[in-house]
Amino acid sequence: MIIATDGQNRITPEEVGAAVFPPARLGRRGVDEQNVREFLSIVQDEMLRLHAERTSLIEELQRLRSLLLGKEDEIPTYTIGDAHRQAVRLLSSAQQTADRTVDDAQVYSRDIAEEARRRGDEIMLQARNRAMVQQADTQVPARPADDGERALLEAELSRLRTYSEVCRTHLRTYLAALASSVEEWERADSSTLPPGMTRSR
Amino acid sequence: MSGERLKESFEYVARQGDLVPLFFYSDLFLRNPELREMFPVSMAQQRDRFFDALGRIVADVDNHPRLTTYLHQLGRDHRKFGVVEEHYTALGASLLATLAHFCGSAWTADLAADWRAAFGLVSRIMIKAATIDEGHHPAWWDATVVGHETRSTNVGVIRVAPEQRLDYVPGQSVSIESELRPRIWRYYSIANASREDGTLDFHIKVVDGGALSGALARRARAGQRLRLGAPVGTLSLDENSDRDIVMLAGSTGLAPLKAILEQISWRATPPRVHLFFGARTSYDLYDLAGLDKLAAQYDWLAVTSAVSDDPYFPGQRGTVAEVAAKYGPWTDRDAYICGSPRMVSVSVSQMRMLGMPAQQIHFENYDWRERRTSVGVSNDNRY
Repeated sequence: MIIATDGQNRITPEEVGAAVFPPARLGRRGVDEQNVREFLSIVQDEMLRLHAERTSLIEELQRLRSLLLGKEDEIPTYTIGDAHRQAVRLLSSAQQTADRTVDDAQVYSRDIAEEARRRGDEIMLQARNRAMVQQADTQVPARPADDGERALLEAELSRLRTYSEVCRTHLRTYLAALASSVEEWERADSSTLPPGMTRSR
Repeated sequence: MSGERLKESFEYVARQGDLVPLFFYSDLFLRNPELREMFPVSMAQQRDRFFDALGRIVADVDNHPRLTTYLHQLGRDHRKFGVVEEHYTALGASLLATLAHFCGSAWTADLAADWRAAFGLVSRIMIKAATIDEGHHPAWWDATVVGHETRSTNVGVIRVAPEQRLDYVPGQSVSIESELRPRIWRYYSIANASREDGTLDFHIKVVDGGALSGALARRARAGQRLRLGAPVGTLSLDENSDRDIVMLAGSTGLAPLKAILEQISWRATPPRVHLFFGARTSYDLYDLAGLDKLAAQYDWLAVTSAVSDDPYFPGQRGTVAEVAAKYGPWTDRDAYICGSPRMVSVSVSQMRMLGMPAQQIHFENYDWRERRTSVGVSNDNRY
C-alpha cells in the first residue's frame, strides 16, 4: 500500500483520497486484496478513535456547560411573598430590640465604670493631699495647713519645668538644624557663585 | 456587567440606610436559620461593616487590582468566622432579594443580571483566596489560657498556649475570641517574641463598656478556651537599620514594643534602646517591674516611665512624647511608637519636630485594614 501516514500512523481525509493500490499479483484481477484490507483497518481504527474522542468531548462540553450554568444558577432567585415580608419585618424589629438592649447595657456599664474611675481618682488625690498635709504637719508643726495646695503648686511647677526642658530641646534641635543649613549655605556660597561675586571673608 | 449601573443602584439603595442591611440579615436568617448563630446577639456593628464592605466593593468595581486585593483579604479573614463555600450562595440570594426589594420598580432583568454576575465574581475571588489560604494556615488557632495576672484595675496580662504552632513577626497582632464572649473578635498585640513552647502573652486594657476587654482582663482563668485569628500588622523591627532606637509606648501599646525588644535582645550586638513607657497615672504603669528587670539585665536598654495626670508621681511627669523629647534630640535613632491613636499622632509629630526623618519613625498604620484594626490600646474600639 502506498500512502503517506504521519508518525502516529493516523490517516487524514487527503491521504484516503490519494491512496494508490499496486496492481494485483500476476494471475489475479484488480487491486491487491491484502493491501486494501490493511488500509481499511487503518481507516477503521482512525474512525473508532475519532468517535471515542468526540464522545468524550461532548461529555466534557456538557460538564463545562452545566458547571457554567450551574454557577450562574447557583444563586437562586427568591420571590418575596407578603408572608415573607411580614416575617422579615418581625425579625427585623426583634433584632432592633436586641441591639438596643445590648447597647443600653454597654452604655450603662461604660457610664458606671467611668464614674467609678473618676471617683476613684478623686479619692486617691484627696487621700494623698491629706497625707502630704499630715507629713508636713509632723515635720514642721508650725506651718500653715495649706500644704495640700502647696503640693499641687509644686506639681504644677515640675510640669512647667518639663515643658521648659522640652522647649529647650526643641530649640537645641532647631539651632542645630539652622547651624547645619548655614554651613551648607556657606559651602554652596563659595563654590557655586561666579568668582567675582564671592564675598571676601 | 455594567459598573455604572451597579454604582447607581447601590447609591439609590444606600440612601435607605440601616433598613437595607436590616432587611438583608432578616431575610438571610429566615431562610437559613442555622446561620444566625455565627453572629453575635447585637447586629448593629455587623450591619455597618457589611454595608461598608459592599460600598467598598461597588466603588472599586472597575479597579480590579485594588478590588482583588481587598477581596483576598476579606476571603481569608472570613475563614475564622467559619464561613464556607456554601454560605456564599445563601448570602448572594438574600442580597439579590434585598436589592430587588429596595429598588422596587427600578429592579430590571439587566440590573439583576449585573448584580448576579458581580456577586458571582466577588464570591469566587473570596472562595479562591480562602482555599489557597487553607493550604497554609488553619482557619483559626484553638488556644487555652495558661496564665492570668491582674496588674491593675485596668490591665490584665494573659498567657495563652495555641494548640498549633502560630508563626508571626514580633510587633504583630491577632484577633481573639473568648468562650466568655462568643462571636466577638478583637485585635490584641502579641507581647513577646516566639518562644519554644509557643505561648503568647497579651496585655489587655479594660475599655469601659467594652464587649470583650473587661471579660478578658478580669475574668480570664487558666483552662479557658480561646480562638486566635491569623497574625496581622506592619509594626516590626527594621532589620536593615544599624541605628540606635527610641521606643515610645502609651499604656498597653507597650505590648508589641516589648516583643520587638525581645527580638533585639537576641542580636549579637544589640543597638542602644531607650524605652519611654507612659500612662495617665502611676498605677497604670502596669509593667514597670518587668521593664526594670529587663533594664537591669541589659546594659544597652534604658527605661524611663512618664505619668501625665498624677501630681504626686515622683518620676517624670508629662505625656510620653514630652518626656521623650526632653531626653532628645533623637535624630540619629529609629523610633518605634505604639499607643492610642492620639498618643501615636502626638508622638510622631513630636519626633518630626525634633528633626527625626519620617522614614525612621515606625508606628502602627491604622489604615491597613480600614477600621477593623489598630494596635495594643483601646482594643475595644477596633473591630
